[in-house]
Amino acid sequence: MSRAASIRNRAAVPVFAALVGGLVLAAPLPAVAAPSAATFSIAVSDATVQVGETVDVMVAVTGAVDLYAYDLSLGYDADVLEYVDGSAQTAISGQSSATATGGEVRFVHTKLGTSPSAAGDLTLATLSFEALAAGDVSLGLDLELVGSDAVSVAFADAATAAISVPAPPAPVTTPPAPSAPAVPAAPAVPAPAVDDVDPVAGPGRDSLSVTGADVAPWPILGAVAALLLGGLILLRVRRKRASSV
Amino acid sequence: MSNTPRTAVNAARESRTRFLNAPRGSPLSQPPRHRFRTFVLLPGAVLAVAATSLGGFSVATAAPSDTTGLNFLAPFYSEADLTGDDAVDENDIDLLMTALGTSTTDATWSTVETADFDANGTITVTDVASLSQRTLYDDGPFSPVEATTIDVQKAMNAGVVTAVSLTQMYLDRIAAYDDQGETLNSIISVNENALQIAAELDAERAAGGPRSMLHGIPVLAKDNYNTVDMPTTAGCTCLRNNQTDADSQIVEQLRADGAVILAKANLDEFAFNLSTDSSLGGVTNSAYVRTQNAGGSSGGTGASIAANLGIIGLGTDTGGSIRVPSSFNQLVGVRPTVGLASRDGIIPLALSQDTGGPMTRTVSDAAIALDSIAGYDPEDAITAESNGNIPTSFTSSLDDSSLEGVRIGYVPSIVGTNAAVNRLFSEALADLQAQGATVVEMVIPELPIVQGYSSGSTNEFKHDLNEYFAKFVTDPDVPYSSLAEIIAAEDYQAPARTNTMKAREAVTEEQYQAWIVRHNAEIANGERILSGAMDSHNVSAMVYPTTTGQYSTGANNRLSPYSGMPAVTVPMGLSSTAIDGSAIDGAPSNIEFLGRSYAESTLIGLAFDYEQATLHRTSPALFPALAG
Repeated sequence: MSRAASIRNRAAVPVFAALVGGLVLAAPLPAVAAPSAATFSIAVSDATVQVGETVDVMVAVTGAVDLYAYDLSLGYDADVLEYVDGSAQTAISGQSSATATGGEVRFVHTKLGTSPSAAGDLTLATLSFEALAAGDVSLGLDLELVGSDAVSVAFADAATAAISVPAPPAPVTTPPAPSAPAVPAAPAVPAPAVDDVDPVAGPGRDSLSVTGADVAPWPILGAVAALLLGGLILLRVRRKRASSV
Repeated sequence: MSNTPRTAVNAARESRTRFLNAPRGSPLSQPPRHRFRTFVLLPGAVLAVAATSLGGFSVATAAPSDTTGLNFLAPFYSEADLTGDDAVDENDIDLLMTALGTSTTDATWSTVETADFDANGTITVTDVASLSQRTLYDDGPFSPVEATTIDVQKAMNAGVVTAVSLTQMYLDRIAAYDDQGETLNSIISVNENALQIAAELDAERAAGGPRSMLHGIPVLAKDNYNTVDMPTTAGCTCLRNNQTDADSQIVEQLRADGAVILAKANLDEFAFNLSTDSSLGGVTNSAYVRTQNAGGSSGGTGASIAANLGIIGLGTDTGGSIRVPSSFNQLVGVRPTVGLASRDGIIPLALSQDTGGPMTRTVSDAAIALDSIAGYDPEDAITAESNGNIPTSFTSSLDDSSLEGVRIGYVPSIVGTNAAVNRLFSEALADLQAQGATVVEMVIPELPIVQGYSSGSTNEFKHDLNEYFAKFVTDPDVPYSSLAEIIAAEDYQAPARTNTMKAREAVTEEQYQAWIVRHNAEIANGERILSGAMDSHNVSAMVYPTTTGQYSTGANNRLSPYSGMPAVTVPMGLSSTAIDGSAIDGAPSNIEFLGRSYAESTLIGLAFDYEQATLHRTSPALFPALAG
C-alpha cells in the first residue's frame, strides 16, 4: 500500500522534535463535513527510551465530529522499535483490530450497530513499543475517518512525533580499586543495527548516554563525600542534644 | 387479582410437563409442538469486554453478546453475513478487519465481496463501518417510548438495559398513565410476577444467550388470551376470577421465546363490537384524540401499545378487531390467515373467523411476533393447514424494496367518500407507485356477495363460548359454566348488551350446525372471489382503507374474515381540518394490504416497504417519556 510505504520512508528519516514529557507535532486541519476533526496529535510517554524498555504512544484527536470508524496507520523504524503485540487499545466503545507489519501499525476501530458516533477530544489509540536498538525514530500518522453516513475523509501526514533510543552503556567487568588510578576508558559498545546515527554525539544523546569511562570516577568521589557529610551531621546532632539537656 | 405464587416461566414449564405427562386424548394431552425452528442456546453472553482476543492483534472494547439465538433474518441485518450464521456480529467484523485491503484480484475476494458496500472493489474501513452498522448493538441512551424489539435487543446486547430494567420502565408507564394522569384505562390486570420472570430471563441470557428476538420483550395481551399468571376475563365481570391452569397456545409460544407477558388489556366485552367497552374494564379511548373510542374489540391493546405501555400487543380479530383499533391508534396490525396460529385458549367469539395476531408500532415487530405465534397445534385442527406454509422467518420479508416491480390492486368503490381518507389513500397509492409498484384498478363484480355475508358472532358465540367453559374454566371462583348462567345472573355489561346476549343464547344447536356449514362455504366462496380477482388482475395484494372515516369503521374490515385471507394494516397518515375540512383533526387512518391465504410474508414485505418509505406513525403527545 503506497500510503504505508510513505510512512515507512518518512519514519526512517531522523526527525527530532525536542518537546519535554512527550513529543507532539500537531497538524491543524481544515474543517470538513462529517466526519471531521480539528487536530491530530501523537504523544509519547518518554521522548528518550533505553534499549529493552517500553514506550507508550498515544494518538489523539480534538474536535472530532460524527466519528463512527477510523483506520489509522502509525509508521516507525522497525529496526529501532518493535510494536508490542496486543497493546493497541482505545477507550472508545466498539471493536478494534491492530496489525503490525514492516514498520507500520494499522489500528482499525468501529462503533457497533446504531451506537452513537464518537465526538469531541478523543484518544484514538494507545500503543506500546519496545526499543530494540539505538536510533532516532520519527512516528508518522495517516488516518481515514468514517462518519455514521459511511462517508470517509482521509488525512495524510496528520501528525508526527520523535523517539530517541540511545546506545546502551558499555558493560563494566571489574570495579576499580579505590586507590587505583583511573581506569582507561572502555571501548564503546556499538549500537546494534543502527548505523546511520551516532549514539554518542548524535542529537538524541542525553545525560544518561555516557560511556563506561565517564562513569568510573563518580563512585569513588561519591563515597568520600558521603563519609564527610555523615560525619558532619553526627557532630551537629550531638551538639544539639547536649545543648538541650 | 388471584395470582399464583409461581412464576410464569416455571408455570409454563410445568404446563408443558403436564401436557407431556397427561394421558393421550385428555384435554391436556398435546404432543411436543412441531416448531419451525429450534432454540440454540450457546454459552457465553459477553458484555462490555475490554480484552485482547484472537491472534494477538484484535481487541474488542465492547463486543456484542451471543446473538446466535435471535434468528432475525431481515435482509439489512443478515444479507452481509460473512460467517454463515445468518447474522452480522463481532466475528463478521473481525473477519472483515482482517481482510482490509483485499481487492477483486485477490483469491479471497469471494469471501468478503458481499461486504464491499461502496462497490469500489476493495475492502476499506468504510466497508467495515457499513458492516458494523448491521450488528444488533447500540450503547447509546435507551428510551421505552417508541422502542422496538430491535431497539431492545440492541440495547440488551450492549448491556444498556436488562429485561428487569425494561420491564420496570413499562410498569412505571402503566402506573403513570393508565389509572391516573391521562387515565388511558387500557389495562385490566398487571402481572405481579413480571419482574421475577424478567430476572430469570436475564440470568438465562447471561448464561446462554437470548432465546429469540422476543427475549425479555414486554407483551400486552388482550384479556381473552388465557394466562397462567393473570385471570382471563374477556372484560366481563362474570369472569373476573377466571384463573386458568394453562396459557393459551399463542401465549405459551411467546413465553417459550422469552417474552414477558406484562399485562392484560381491555376489550369490548367478549370481543364483540368495535369501540372497546366492558363491564370489568370500562371504556378505553384512543391514545390520540382522547374523546374518541380506541376502536375495538382489541382497543385496550391498541391504546396501550400506541401509548408505549408495552412493545408487542396481542389482539384477536373476528370481523376487524385487530385492524380497526390499529387504524384508530396508528399501529401495525396483522390478521393472519385463519389456521396460521392456534386459537386454543382464547375466549372465542366465532371460530369460523377468529384469529389471534400482533398489534405493534412497527411492521418489524409484527413479523417478529408472528414468527413466535405461528405453528401447528393439535388442539386447533385448522392449524394443520399451516404445515408447509410457514417460512423459516417472517423477518426475511423485511425488505425495503419489496414494492419494486409489484402490482397492487385496489377497488375504487370501497375507498369511501370521506375527504380525509380519500386524500390519505390517494397519497398512499402514489407512495406505492413511488416505491416501484404498479397500482392497478380492480373490478370485482362479485365483491358485493362477500360484503353481504353476516358475521359468525351471532350464531357461533354461544356454542364456542360454552366449549371454552367446558375446556378451560376450572377455577371454582367462577360460578358459571355457560352463557345461559351468565345471562341469568346478569353478571355482564347489562343492560347495554342484554338484547345481544339473549339473542345469541337463543341460537339452538341445530341452528348453529346449519349456520356453520353455510358460513364455512361462504368463507370459501369469499376466498375464491377475492383470490380469483387477484389472479385475474395479476396483483400480489389489494389495498383499501382499513376504516373509511375518522374514528368510524366502515365495512372493509369484513373482507379478510369473510375470505379467511390474511391482512396487514399500516398507518397512512392523519386527517387535517385545514386540508380536508375534517370534523376531527389528527384522526389516524390505516391502509390495509389483503393477500392470498398464507401470503403473510408477501404482505409483511409490502407493508414494510410502504412503512419505511412513509413513516406515518407518530407518538401520542399526551403520553411522553417519564421524567427521570
